[in-house]
Amino acid sequence: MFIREDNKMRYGIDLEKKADELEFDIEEVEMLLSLFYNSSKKSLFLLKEAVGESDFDKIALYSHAIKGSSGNLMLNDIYNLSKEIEQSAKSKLDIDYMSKYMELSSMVNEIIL
Amino acid sequence: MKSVVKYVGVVLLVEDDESSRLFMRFIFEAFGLEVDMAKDGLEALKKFNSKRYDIIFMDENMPNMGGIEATRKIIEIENSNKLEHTPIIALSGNTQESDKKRFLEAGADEHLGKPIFKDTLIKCLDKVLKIKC
Repeated sequence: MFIREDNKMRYGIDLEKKADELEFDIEEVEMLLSLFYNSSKKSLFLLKEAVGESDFDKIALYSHAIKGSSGNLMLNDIYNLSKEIEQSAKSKLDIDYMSKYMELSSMVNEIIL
Repeated sequence: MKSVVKYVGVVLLVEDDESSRLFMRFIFEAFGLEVDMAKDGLEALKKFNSKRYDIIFMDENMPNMGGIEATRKIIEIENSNKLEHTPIIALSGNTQESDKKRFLEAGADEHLGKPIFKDTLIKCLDKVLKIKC
């Protein structure tokens, strides 16, 4: 766990390392992670509904949204899993989408603690 | 974000995802560019009709009006009003050749696959914008 000195927010990833990796300032990374977290939570909610309805188009749509923004931030585990879900749904593969959703949800939840 | 590369120009960034918009804005601003943003194709058309841009970055999948349709409409506006062409750079997480082809056929000048990397953007901007020394 990584905590800012001012104790404002607790992050599951090292902000300084991420800032170096992206060549951004720490404040910018914080803003980006916070936005990513909030938008991904919305997409995850919709993804869970789509999985419950076995709606492949919607599963692909919402996992695609998470894939795009996680890729920019080099959140590679989230990017790879959302890409796997999207591609499986596009190919209408019969995989266990609910367990993939839970795994993805857990990864996103670890960003801000 | 700091950048040694500086450009002169005004960018219209069309992207529905808020975190992706901010990510791109940080990069463009570090490059010294002025950035206007639109959340979908409809908003992009409104902005395009009211201001001249040096370059447009256009996402593909957006609500209300997607990037391919918005690109097609911008080209129509340019042609019917005999306007100078504004370069349109397609942004897409769909990196298959067919997706790229659809965007280019609609009138986009370049296609960049997501995720976007700074070096890729620099190469793209080098082709279109003036570099400030």
